[in-house]
Amino acid sequence: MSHQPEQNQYAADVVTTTEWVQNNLNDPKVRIVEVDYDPVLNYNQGHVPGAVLFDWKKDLNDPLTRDIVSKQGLEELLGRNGISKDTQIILYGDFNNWFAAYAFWDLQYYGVKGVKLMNGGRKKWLLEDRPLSKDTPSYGRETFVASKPDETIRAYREQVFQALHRSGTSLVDVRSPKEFTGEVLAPPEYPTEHAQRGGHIPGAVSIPWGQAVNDADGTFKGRKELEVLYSSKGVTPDHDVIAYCRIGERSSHTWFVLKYLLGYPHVRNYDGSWTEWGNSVKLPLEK
Amino acid sequence: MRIADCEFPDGLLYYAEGTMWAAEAEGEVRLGITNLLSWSFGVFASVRLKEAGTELQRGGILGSLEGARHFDVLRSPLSGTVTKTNDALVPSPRLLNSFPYSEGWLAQMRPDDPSELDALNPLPSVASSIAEGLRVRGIHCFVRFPDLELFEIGVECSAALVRLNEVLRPSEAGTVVHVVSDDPSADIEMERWADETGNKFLEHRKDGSIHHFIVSKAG
Repeated sequence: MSHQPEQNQYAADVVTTTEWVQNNLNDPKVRIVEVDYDPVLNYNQGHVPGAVLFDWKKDLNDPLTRDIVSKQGLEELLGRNGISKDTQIILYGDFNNWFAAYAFWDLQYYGVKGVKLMNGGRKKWLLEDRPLSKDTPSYGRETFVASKPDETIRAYREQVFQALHRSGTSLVDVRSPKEFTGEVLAPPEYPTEHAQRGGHIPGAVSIPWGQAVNDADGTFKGRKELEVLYSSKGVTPDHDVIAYCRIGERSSHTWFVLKYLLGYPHVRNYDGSWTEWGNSVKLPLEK
Repeated sequence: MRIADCEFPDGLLYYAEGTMWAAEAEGEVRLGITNLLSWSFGVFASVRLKEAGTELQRGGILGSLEGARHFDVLRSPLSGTVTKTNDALVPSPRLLNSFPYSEGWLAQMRPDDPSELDALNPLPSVASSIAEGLRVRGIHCFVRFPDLELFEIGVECSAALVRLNEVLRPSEAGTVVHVVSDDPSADIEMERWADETGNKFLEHRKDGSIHHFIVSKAG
């Protein structure tokens, strides 16, 4: 089954196929990057030949400041993996590309151009029985100069709070329905990461991230189907849209869909998400 | 044989670094996953297997598994034809967590060349690789696979038990919960809790200063 015709209708050229990746494995201008939450069970068990690893916890976040990796940190990460401004970066990863989408958002934040996601991620590559390697490649160091942060794609708590009473803003909660209603404080697979309170940001609509992908192979749904999904819940291109989840990774997946596949002009990812909002003093919520 | 408290039956043959098992059944070969996979995927959400009648080469894709923490494909240890798959897994993929060696079997195959079975490993030859696999994945099995987990670190045990009761109240009888506590007297309080509520206290393990409890709801 090919999604190629639908992909061509996406608003921006930001998605590539597993087939294209396999045909370009040896191109020195292309760098394939696996982005994992859990490299032990994924990258280390076998990955796209020649792919380097970005470890979401270690490489893309600064745990001390609870922030995105610094500009210098990102430049170092790209440089040591042999990525220059002329390199075509292809991201893919575990968990249906959640963390790859987060990496895409990090890279856009620092102005890195021409990045694409491999549609279907690790799941589709495995299902299609494409080659895997356990070798960790190394590439000659490059120098990468990133841009200063693009704050137009990121939302902070105060901005979300300001947006609560403003018309023309859509808040999209992409967590599971039980997290939205407050029935569970954390998804069962991450029991240590719960918030003090359950529920959602007032006025948010619930559109779980997974509704944007085909369950069988993790690829994005076609553009028409995605447009109906979001616009039927009132999330339209004329709005300022803010997506959030629990820690900002599933919402970067939805941010990617809205901003690049559908071409909505104003979309932000609120990476503080529920672990910030649900734990903060005096912030309102709904259940 | 138990490795890191995980059961690996002696009579089975193992392949894929001890993540999968094979055994003769009904004159054919029955296949399944071991506790090494069962405990690393989290609660299973879906299982997809090739249909009966599918011919596979050794190493070909037999199907895929998706759990709360992981997705992966499963490969065939031999060339042959899939003769049946375990229909019970479709409505209850959770069987893979609870009974990976019995009700949670995956598929049955008729091998093209039965001598290929000789290339699979009896437990003694794969035990060290299984132990290493458990170690790198950080797996240590409990008597029962938990439906829910409660991490109550820095919380007084009585407060943790209030949370446990809240979690169990809407749950079905038999629901298994893994409770983690660093309260030094948690083991005594947990025994008292089981006596008072009638719920079952199935296992206690102490790891440094951390208590792990496996409890299940009565009924």
